[in-house]
Amino acid sequence: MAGVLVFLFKPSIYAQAYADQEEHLFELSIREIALLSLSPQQSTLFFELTFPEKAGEDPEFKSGPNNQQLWIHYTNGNALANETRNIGVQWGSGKLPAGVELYISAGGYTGNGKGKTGVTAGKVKITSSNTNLITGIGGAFTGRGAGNGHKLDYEVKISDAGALQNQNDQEINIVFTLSDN
Amino acid sequence: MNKYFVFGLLYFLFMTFSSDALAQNLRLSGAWKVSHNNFQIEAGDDIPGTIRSDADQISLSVNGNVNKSNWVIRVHMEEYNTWNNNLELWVRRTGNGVGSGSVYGGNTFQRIARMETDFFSGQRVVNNIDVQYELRGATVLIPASNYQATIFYTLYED
Repeated sequence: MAGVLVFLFKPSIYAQAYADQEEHLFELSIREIALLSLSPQQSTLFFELTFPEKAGEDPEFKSGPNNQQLWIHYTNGNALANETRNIGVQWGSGKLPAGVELYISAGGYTGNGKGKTGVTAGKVKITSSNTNLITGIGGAFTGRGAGNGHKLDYEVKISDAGALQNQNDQEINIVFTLSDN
Repeated sequence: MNKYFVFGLLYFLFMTFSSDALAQNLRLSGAWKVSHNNFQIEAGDDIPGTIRSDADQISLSVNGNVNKSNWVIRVHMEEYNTWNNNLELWVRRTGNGVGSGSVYGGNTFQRIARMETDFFSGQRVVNNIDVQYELRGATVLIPASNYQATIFYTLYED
């Protein structure tokens, strides 16, 4: 009888419903990012030296109308949360006329970006050496276009009026670099 | 030990172990890796907050002894130690596959959790069911690194 009962009864071994399983790997690779841009792109600043109408007054540089519309933007991503980068500025090609100095300052961050945006170093003199303009940039993005990032302001000063000479227009390139701290 | 008992025992053993050979099984092909090649950004931009895979990034096939069976596929993931909690993986079924069976459900994106959740169901044999992923939460605000997770698909018979 025991053998007959076993024959008629189909055992239900699979009380659980598990049948099979497969798997695969997902991987996201985020590399360090350091992107820098200006807007408008390929901007050209104009400064015109004008001489006074009255004797004894100082000559001065007049700033072109587009000189106050420049913004700098960046996207920065570091491997470590406490790492930062700086934006430096220096001359590229060309040379300032004798007796003239050019200064630049970056405004505080503003815009639609997020993250650890940089801190302005205030007004700095542009030289042939890289000089920090914005420091302490962590993981951050500024947004693009006017109103996003740091507004740039330029100022030309006469350091030695006696050295000023009448000369043709001078074209000078200014280079910005986003680099490790 | 009489012959009926022996025959019954043999039948019992046959049903026990032969069921493995006739069980439904699951096959998966494909994987997904996201890198800077998946997006283009300019200075000032963040990494895209949503990155979507190809519609047929992976495919799943259910076959075996399914002629009498309903089945369901559940999905879950296990993150590696390097995972960042800002990241989310979402999945949806984009294809109906081919075969004698049918599939239903799973057509809208659902987040893949650490606990198993139902993905989609079906009946009988269906091969090459296309599946698509979405990655949400990638940003330059998290450390540059490699983030990994294993995604599991588990087939259950109803």
